[in-house]
Amino acid sequence: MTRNSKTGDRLFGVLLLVPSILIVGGFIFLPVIQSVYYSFFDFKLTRKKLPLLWNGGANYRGLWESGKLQNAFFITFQFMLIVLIAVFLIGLLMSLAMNKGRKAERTARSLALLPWGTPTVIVALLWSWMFQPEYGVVNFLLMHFKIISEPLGFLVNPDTALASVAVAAVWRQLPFMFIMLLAGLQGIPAEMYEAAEIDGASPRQSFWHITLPFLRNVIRSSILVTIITNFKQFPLFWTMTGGGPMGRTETLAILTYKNAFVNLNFGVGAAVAASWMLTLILFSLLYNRIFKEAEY
Amino acid sequence: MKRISAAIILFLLAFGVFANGGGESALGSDEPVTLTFASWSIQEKGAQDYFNELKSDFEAANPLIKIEFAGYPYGELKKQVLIMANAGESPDIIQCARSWYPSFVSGGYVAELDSLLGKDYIKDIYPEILADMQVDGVTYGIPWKVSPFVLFYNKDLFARAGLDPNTPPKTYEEAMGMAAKLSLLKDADGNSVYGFGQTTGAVPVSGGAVLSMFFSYGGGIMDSRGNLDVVNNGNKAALSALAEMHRKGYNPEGAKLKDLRNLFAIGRLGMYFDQLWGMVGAYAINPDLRSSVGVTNPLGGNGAAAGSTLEAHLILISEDSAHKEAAAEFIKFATSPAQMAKYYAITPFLLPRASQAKAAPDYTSDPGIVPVLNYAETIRTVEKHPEMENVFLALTTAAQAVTVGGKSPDAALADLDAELKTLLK
Repeated sequence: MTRNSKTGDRLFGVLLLVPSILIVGGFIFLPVIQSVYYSFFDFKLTRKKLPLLWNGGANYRGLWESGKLQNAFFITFQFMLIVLIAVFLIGLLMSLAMNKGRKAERTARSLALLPWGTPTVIVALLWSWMFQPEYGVVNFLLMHFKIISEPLGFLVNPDTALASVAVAAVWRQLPFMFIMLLAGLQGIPAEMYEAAEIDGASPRQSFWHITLPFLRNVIRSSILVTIITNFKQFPLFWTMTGGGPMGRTETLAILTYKNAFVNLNFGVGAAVAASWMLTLILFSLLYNRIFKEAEY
Repeated sequence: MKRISAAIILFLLAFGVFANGGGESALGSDEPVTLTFASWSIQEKGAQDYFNELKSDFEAANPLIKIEFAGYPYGELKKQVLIMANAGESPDIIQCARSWYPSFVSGGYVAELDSLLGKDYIKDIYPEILADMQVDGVTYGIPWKVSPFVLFYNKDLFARAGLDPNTPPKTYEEAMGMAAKLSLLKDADGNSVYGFGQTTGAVPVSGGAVLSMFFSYGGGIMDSRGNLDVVNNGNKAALSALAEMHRKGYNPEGAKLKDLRNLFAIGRLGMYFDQLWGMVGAYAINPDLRSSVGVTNPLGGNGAAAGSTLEAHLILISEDSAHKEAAAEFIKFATSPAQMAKYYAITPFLLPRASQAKAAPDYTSDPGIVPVLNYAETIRTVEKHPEMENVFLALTTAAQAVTVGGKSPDAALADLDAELKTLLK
């Protein structure tokens, strides 16, 4: 191949990439860059025809000084950890229990997938009603079994609101984790367990030394998806608590939405979004570096 | 020379066209005008018929003016209007909730109405209501339907609790005593009855209700000179009362108005504060409730006179409207005694103008209105700061802090003071 034809091939390759670069750049990178740019300006719709004014990071300073940004980060991480731990542990137990080859497992698996097919807003409304103090089934059951004597306002009490939203999130996200782990389990060669059994390994040793290592890649991807899903969780919070009570469920997504689309202060909204985006990018890079893909 | 003459004639003709306004509304001209009216009521089932009739009545009376509705859900309207205005597509007329009013006024989105509607029209509005509509003596909004936070009470539950169903409380102290008796009741299914409801949910309207409670205890968030004054005895007494209502189980936790309406409708709430039109929601759930409902003015507390924010639906004219005079005609028509009587027939509210009340004998003899006819005396003016909606939300946070949050009134007021200093700086 001559030098000229190589250059021509390269140019042709670049030419083929141009539409994709334009589409991805135009629809993803440009709005992101624009959002970061606006985060340094006074940009409010509540003032008519107000020109964009550079405020030198005042949006970030204001957020920091009000303590709302730190609170939102804390609440977001707290929520993400609660949901992640619960979803992973329950999902793992479910997948182990439903990987025995019994007849009823197929029906049970189909039923377990139901929450996944339910739109998140519907899940939020459903759980809001279930947690309702006067007519909600949760209060009814707790009172019926004498666990509580008075109905509890799960979503309006600062001590229970975040956990209540987490319950709805776990219910919604469990099928994803379950199905991923189950698929991973079914991909482990049966010979590995047979060999371990011949060598006298206990079920616990098989789990720690065969199951978990073989599931490593699936766990790695599922956990990353769960982290990102819950880091940006919006519909559950907005529908169930709106960020209340007393800011106890005001996550980064809620803080962004409130500033940008309720207060129509796009500058501050963009500042929250930029802080959040940067954190998530750094986290993803770090995560991928720590949990490098395993090779067998 | 001919060319110069032709150019002058063309220039004069063009000038004539532009001087005419290119469709500018000038009333009395033969140019038809279309007014865009941004409204949430046009999307609501109960009000749709009335609004369509208002449009056809107005168009029949003003053949050269057409009304075109731009309907949005209540929660979306403010945002949509601001977006439209910033895009240079502002609607001519805007239906506006009282809590949004400061945003439109301080942002420069709405027109001054004093000269558009005339002095006689403006001075017919009750002075307390007008004061709440004015900024530096200039009127930007016309009250359409108004109400303070009135107290609704269930006469049947009063009778069952051994209370006189025709003697509602006048003060918070009396109400607390009654709430103690009402709270002992059970409904047919054995569920307990709440004695005394005050909304504290995290929505701006609940903040208005909390501020009304502050007013009723002699508090508020501004002193007479317009300076921030949050940590005061009136507010402390109001928050202490809220904490007591919570501790004794009189008030449902963190309830929004719709929650209180539901509970009231099914006979599980003895009395609660709401806007007058809120009862439409309760009647929709339980039509049999009508004969049991009593209403009274806001309550005083700690010896202070009763007070309330003005809860209102307003009509505004966009600053960018090219047809302000035609829009003013529409406002006059919509708020005329005849139209208000029709509107009043579908939803209860209080009339903001003296002439409207005089022309409506049904209104002045309505047993659901008579106890609150002197409502205007209870109205307190509220700031017109663009951050007022966030101020209202901060007030609900303070209310939640002393109830579900378990904070002391002093600590909640200190937090509120810090928050309002940031918001209103």
